[in-house]
Amino acid sequence: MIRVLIAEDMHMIRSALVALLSLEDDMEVVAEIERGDEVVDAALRVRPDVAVLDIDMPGLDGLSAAEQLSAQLPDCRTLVLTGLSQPGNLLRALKAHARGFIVKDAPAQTLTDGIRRIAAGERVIDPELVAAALETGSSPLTARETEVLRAAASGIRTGQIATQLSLSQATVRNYLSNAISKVGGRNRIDAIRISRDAGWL
Amino acid sequence: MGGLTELWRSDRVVRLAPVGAVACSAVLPLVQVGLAFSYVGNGVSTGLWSLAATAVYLPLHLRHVWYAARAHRPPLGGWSLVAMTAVILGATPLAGNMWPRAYTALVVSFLLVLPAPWSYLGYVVVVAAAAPVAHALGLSWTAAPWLTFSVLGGSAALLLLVWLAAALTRLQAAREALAQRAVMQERRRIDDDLRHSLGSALESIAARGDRAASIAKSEPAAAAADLTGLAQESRRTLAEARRRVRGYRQPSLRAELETAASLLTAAGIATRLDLPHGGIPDTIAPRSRGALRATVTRLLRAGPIGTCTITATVLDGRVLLDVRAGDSTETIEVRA
Repeated sequence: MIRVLIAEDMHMIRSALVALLSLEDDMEVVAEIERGDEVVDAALRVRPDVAVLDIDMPGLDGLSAAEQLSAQLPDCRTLVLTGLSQPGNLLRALKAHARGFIVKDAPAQTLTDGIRRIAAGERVIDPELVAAALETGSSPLTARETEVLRAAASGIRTGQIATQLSLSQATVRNYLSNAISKVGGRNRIDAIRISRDAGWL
Repeated sequence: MGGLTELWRSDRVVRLAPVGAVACSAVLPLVQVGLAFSYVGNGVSTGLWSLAATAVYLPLHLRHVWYAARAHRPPLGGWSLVAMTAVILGATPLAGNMWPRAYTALVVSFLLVLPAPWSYLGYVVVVAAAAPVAHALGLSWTAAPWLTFSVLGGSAALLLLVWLAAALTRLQAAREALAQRAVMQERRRIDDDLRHSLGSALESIAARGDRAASIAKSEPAAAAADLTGLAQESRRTLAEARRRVRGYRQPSLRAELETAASLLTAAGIATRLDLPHGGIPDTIAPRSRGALRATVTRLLRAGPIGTCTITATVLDGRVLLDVRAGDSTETIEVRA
């Protein structure tokens, strides 16, 4: 029996996933989570074989949750559900040791097969996502530029970003300027939009 | 250097060029007014005449320069040129023996406003007259040729500036026109492409939906089969739509290989890219691109398999990609 944890913030989708997996003879849903920051605690409590994580969740996004899960419960394999709109997320998912990465609108059979294959130790990646990721390309941003742009995306001011990241305001402005130039944005809002769409943030 | 390049690439330089041309065109006449008060033999009245005449003709001249630098002919330019000529020539006996230097502005305006060959004729006549007029006003024969040289050099420099600004404006206009044409052609191509591919698929889906609805009550089993087929066709169409959209964005082969190496490395397969020093073609045929993506997907699914080396070689104009992962090697021929 494959023990599955489901983390999805939208109640209807979560219920549908639970109902779908409950129909499978070889699967048991052992936990339903609606926030990303609850995933690790719940997983440590119920010890699932596979964690199915939505990429966008309140508290902590699915990829960060997968990274923490991999560090604290390496035996639990993660499958991330995503949309095609942010192809750069595949790279982040692989770095976060996600074993599966499939699109949300794939047929139900793809999800159940994926869970089985992941539980068997295989890696499941939608070819469409690979193609999309190859077309989008790697993020041109350095780790620090990404960090600064992500902080800017949360809406805080340059001074607050500088305090938060222990940098001077001039350095923050430099990082933002580099990031805007590298992603081809017209200003920081545009750079945030481009980077988010590509899945680089 | 990068900043300078950025500046030249930006539209700002195109916007500033006419302003620069006007500013430079204003400098010489203003210096001329300043000097009119200080030359030997010139009195205050000479300087004041020079100042008054300059105050009248300079706005007209700068108007000519402003329009010409933006690649336009000044409206009613003929009349403003007549007025300018009258002021400059009228001030000649009153504004001192160095006043013919103001002919620089006059000949520049001739070339900017008048059509050829009248503009060239006017230019030659006025430049040739500068030295004799200055001499008649009391300038020595040794100094007069320098005045001609001053008019020639000054007018050449100003004309060059105006021409450069106008050329930049024309270049930008041409670039915008090309970009607009390219956008139009691309829109038309995408429209045709979508109509011929996805359009027919969507029509088929709609027809199947209608059929399923009409037989839902009388033949539920057949309707269910139709709906299942409908769902499959919808997914195929969605996949086709995604393929089409991806097809419109073609990254370079190098960028695609670098991303592939990043993905494989992130998946635990240490990947090295070995590219020829001479570079690789930017474009890649859809079939070769598909083969490369299939290989990357297979390797990603296979999981940690040690190392992978992607080597690109150019042989007789053909590019070959050798993907060596573990014990297996796959060769993909890249066609542009």
